[in-house]
Amino acid sequence: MADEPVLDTAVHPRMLTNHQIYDYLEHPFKGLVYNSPNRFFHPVPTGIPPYGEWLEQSRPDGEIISTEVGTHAAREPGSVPARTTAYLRENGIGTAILLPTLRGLVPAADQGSAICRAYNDWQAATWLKDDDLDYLGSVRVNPMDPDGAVAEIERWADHPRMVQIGVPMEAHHPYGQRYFLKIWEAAAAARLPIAIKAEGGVGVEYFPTMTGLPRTHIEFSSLHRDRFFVHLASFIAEGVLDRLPELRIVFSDGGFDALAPSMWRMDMDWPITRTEVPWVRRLPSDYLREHFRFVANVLEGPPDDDAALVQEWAQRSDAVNLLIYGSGYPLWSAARPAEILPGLDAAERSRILHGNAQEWYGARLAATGAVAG
Amino acid sequence: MAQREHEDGWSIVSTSEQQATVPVRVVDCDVHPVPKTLDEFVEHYPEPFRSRYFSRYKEDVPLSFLLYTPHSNTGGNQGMGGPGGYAAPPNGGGGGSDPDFLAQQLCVDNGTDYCIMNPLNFRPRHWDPEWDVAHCSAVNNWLAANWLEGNANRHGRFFGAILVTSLDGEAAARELERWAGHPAFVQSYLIADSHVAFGNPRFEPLLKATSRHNLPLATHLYRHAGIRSMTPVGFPSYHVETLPNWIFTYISHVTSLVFEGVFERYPNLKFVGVEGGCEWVAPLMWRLDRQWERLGAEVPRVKRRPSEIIREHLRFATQPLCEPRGPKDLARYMEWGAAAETMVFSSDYPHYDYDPAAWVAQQLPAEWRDRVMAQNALETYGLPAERPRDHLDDMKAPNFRIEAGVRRDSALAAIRAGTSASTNEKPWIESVD
Repeated sequence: MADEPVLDTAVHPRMLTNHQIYDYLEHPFKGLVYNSPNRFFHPVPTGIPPYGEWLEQSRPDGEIISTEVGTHAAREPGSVPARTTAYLRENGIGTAILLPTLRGLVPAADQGSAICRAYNDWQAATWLKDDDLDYLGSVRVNPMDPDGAVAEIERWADHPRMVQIGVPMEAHHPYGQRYFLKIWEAAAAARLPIAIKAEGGVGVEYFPTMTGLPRTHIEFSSLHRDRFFVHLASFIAEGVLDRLPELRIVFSDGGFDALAPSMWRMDMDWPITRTEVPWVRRLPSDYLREHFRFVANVLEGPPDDDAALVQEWAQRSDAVNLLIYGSGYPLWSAARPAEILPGLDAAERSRILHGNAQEWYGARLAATGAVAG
Repeated sequence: MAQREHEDGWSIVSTSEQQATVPVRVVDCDVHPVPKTLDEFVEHYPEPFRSRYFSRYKEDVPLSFLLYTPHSNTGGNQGMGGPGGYAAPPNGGGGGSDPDFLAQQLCVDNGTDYCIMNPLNFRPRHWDPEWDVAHCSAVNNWLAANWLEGNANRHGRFFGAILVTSLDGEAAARELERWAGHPAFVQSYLIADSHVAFGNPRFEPLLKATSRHNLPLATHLYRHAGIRSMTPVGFPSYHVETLPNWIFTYISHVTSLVFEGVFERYPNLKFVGVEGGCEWVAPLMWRLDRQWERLGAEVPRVKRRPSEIIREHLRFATQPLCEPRGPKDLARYMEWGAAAETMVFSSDYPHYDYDPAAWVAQQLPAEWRDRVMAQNALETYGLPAERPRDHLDDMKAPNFRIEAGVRRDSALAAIRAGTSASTNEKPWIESVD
């Protein structure tokens, strides 16, 4: 069991420079200005630990890289495939799903969709052709342009290496609401799970917490994952999962530690106030195993040195069934497989590092004929 | 039911008729009084706002509303009122409007020794700090005159929260100063939907004044209209998603207070999160410790592990207590969250999801039950652990749970017989059975 190659569901490749995006844009979007891909709000301190957003190993060191459409001196951390591949190999990872972050919520719907198309074409033309490691891709779509998002899903529906849809955690409406329904219908029809991940860049997102803008990065880092729950509760309450039994959703930033207490509260209220949502057929927590997964991370959960506590918590929170592994590379907080819940036994860890993701993406992989791991 | 209430020796009947004082067994940290009439309230409203808005056509100016409303399955437009209107006073008025009936239901029927009153009914005036300051004064004036002083509180069981504005820290501190030293006001009190985390420098004057008077700072969500109900990703549609979303408001306030170093500056300060849940305290302690280990260099003012700070300074009221399906899930999560130090009982009387004291006590392990039901609150508020006997001790406690069962059976029988329309009482289902 322990020798099975790890399936990494959250690697975040970046373009070589801020300007590489122009290689993949068409008129009129090629003529527009594109901000830095780095998150503007609440930056990670760079002069004190952890010394910036990115792993030291992921920072380019003079690499010059040519693609079919351009040559660039790599500047952005996480942009050099060979570095990523080296890190992943070193950690026993056999297959990695790429989930690029883009440029924030772009106010203009068409430009937002053009950026998604550019990143999808770039993934397919570069990283997905890299045969040093088994890379799979994510179709990034713009939820603020549902028609454009559906067209983009259809454009990639038969690509054998595209295995999920990527959308930002940031949104102007919770994702269960009807504005987005046709996107999820298209994803379910193509057997593509939805990955929801906090975005980079500079955009028109709302504040990241229930109490507005944090003042520090540590506060932001502690709280931003909790946004997952608003989307999760919305998918359930709006009846999306009753309509689309095939829909699969993964929260790629984590946030799993807050799931059990918030679901208990939703379960508690459902028998009392379900009058308002008669289409929700099951107790809210009954939707979890079929429809949701969470990428495990090292910034949450019980202390690693208390194995008895870790085991009991995992049993009570259903962690062994609901967590999947994702390194988060090239973020500073990237988690090596060995760091994920070391208190669990080998079979349980194998579920999280390999088996759960294998099942989760299995329908899509079978549909396209690709094989992972 | 009567048998279950006496399991493990825990009972709401705790008094011996011979004693002059009574040990405190139950402190309810969340009770919501309301006025009987609009006039009862507006007579306490400061000028010029009273004349400007609450003289002619005063009913046209909404003070309260229901948004993200608990449309309960008991039918009818009951709003926040509980199943069957359990808290409606027999002599009229809304649930929570009659001090003597409230005392009978909580202090006699539920064996509650002290009630901490957090008024909720009047929504803040968010668009004008000056008006909001006057509004808070009105609420405090009304609470003091109608609940905390005089005949209503002749037994001394009622304590109150000093409502302060979330829009202006200096003004909030001034309102606190107006009441500090009043024997029945025991905490300062901010709305949770403040849209600014409490560790933000805006609140520093209030935190300083609260600490100077050795009071805790409490918060309670308000179900806001407008932008303050928005989550980081937009407005949810339904109550069933909004209710659990609110725990993240409290998680954000706690995180801000911890990482802003508030408790390093005010070592005597306690913070009480009311109606925000207590089941998430353990995961939050673990999470903040992990964040601090890796990112603590950014906040050198935070000298201790966040979990230690939370154990010492943060308190969480129990209602609405969750009922997870796994055996002992609730007790274990509470225990991991240091419930014996951090959690305090609350009922949320008179609202629809009210948690009776005896029911909550039944959910807690004997080892730390008394700490959650009373001791933690006594220490947090500095209240006496013994109180004088009063007339409420001599009133006979009906077995309200058996009565509730009888009423429900007869209501269900009436539905089956098709005669329910002929009775005045609505069919009802108890939420805690």
